[in-house]
Amino acid sequence: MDKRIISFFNFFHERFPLAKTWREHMAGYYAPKNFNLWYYFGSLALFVMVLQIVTGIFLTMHYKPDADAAFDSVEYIMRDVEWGWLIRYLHSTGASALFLVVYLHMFRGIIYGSHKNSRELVWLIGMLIFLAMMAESFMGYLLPWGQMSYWGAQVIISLFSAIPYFGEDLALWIRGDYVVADATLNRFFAFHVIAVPLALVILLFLHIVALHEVGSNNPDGIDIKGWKDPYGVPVDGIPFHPYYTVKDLFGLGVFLVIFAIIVFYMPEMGGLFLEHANFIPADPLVTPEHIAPIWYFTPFYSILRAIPDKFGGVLAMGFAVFILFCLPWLDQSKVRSIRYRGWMFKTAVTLFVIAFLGLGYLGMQPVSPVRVMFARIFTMIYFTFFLLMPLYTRYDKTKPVPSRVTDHGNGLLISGMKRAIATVCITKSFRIGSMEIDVPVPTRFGFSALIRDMKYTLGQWVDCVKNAIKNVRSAG
Amino acid sequence: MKSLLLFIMIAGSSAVFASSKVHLDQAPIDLTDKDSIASGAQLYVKYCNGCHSLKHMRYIRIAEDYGIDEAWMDDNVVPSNMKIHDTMLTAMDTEDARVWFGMPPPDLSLIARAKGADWLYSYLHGFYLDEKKPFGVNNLVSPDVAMPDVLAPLSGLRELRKNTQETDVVSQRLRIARAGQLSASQFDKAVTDLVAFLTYASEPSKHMRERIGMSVILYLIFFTILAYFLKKEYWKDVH
Repeated sequence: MDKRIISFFNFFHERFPLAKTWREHMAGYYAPKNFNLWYYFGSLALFVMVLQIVTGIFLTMHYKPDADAAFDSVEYIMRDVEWGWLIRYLHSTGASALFLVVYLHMFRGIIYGSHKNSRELVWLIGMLIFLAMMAESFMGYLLPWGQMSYWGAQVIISLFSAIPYFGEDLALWIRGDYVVADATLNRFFAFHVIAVPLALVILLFLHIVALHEVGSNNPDGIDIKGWKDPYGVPVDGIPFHPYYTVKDLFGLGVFLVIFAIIVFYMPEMGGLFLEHANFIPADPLVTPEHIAPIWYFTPFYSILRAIPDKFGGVLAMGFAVFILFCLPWLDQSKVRSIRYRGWMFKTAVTLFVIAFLGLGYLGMQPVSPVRVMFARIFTMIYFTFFLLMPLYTRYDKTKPVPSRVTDHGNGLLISGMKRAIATVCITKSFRIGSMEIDVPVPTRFGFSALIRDMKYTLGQWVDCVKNAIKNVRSAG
Repeated sequence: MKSLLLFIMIAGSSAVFASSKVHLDQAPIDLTDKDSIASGAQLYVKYCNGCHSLKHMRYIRIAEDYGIDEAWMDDNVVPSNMKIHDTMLTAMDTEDARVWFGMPPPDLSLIARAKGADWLYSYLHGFYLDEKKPFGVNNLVSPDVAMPDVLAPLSGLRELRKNTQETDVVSQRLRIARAGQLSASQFDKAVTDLVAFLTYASEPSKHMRERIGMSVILYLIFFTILAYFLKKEYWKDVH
């Protein structure tokens, strides 16, 4: 039996580079050993993408892409298809989860300089993935054919008509009709189900190939290939498999717990993931009270609304996405990671985050003079972050970068949790067969000790603040 | 500092008056109460099904989900010309309805998800006498609505109270002008049952989803704890 397995493997491996690929990209791909929380989001994004494809396939089995039947077919899935409600909620929550995870993944790139030399292509392909994701989710949202689906599509496609000279014809070509209609639904279905997912899969493949060619970045921004051991293995590198496969498995578990809580207990998320107006069938004669795009588009929608001119708004929104492509060339710091950059970059990133979140919030609200003012301020901060970047990254005072990766240890949250567990529990050894495992077991006195400990810590903080106030008072 | 305070005041106030909405009552519905749902289904078929279809709901589904006796369902809920496996369609012709009301009465399968239980509850409590309207009634929650006050025989006729504020809930802004068959608390129970039924009808799988969710999440937490210890074991020799 063994001989047959061996000869089968030999037959296979002579004709297909599976073992070679496994060695080069999994068991023999050396990733930096200091990946932190920010490095979970890539593998999570891949997982959610696969989830979207699988749930999407099952939805397509029952969904009818016809203006008269679409809305009812979704309700049919929700009620009559076995587990249809679960597939639907997984797909709708997955879309929001994908964008959240990808935004965090992109943010990691910004703070650790993962877009810099020579990973520019990784960043560019990633940006193309982001564009494809936006197209995919926009077209997917039309498919349920609810009020928000219809009117959201109507508003966004009409933006194309704002382009001078050929705008109207372009909008007509996209829609396939003079207004959003059955023709639009059918073509959006084709794009959403096969055209864009195919492009996404290819782009994801290219994204990982480009990454593996250069090697992964790390929170210290150090090039680990600069220091290799006699075997040619980076001293700060560990094989992706099994170290990061097992770590990402844990990360996946944490993500799934949160994801499951949302899917099973709050799939609508108060109207953020499944908007209330979308439970009313599309009616071309009735405009909803408040047309808003889904939460992950609201930052860019805010920028669009901040500019008083329609075409100007479209240009600004497009430029806001385009400028992200230029990041590798705008960032002219000698240093990759934010850990070794100066106060200018740190301030810029903080302001950028506030502006982005602010724009996102404002995009969900109806317009008002105060809100428009804030949207304009945030839009200016957003663009200034990029446009002034060549200046403040070049003249920023950076710290010396170490030659080996550092271990920053755990942050406040994890250390706090560990200390709490250590205070409440004692470690007991258990034997299962030949295995010995140490398990923290809570004790009766542990909880009161924890409360005492927390009170003491709180007291220390209060004293510190009191002292600070006293010092300021006496000084000033 | 002053401009910051001014901003907070304006932002805060705009949140309250963001859309000129009425203040809604809180619907005291209980989706686990089998009798409430059964009563709601009866009321629906008696008073609402004449104009409003519930095309995504089947009579048998209600019976199965709540363990209601099918024979009871057949006698008390299912109309005589329909079978228990049918969907709850309406007899009213769409084109006739358009002539009579201006627009066909919408299907109510998802109304509770679109508007919310509180809105529905307040809406059904919100009809009052208004001689300027074609049917003689208007509604506080949906002004100038084309729907007549179908539950008037039960609730009686209401009129607007004077000296009420915008911030009062709907039920406090109206008072009975002429009593109906049911007392105020009996009518309230009827509306509660009806709204509970409509809320259930807009998502029949909700109970199953929440029940299964508990097992799924507990399993995932257990799995994550195991995955954590596995990770720690593998990573012992790093650093």
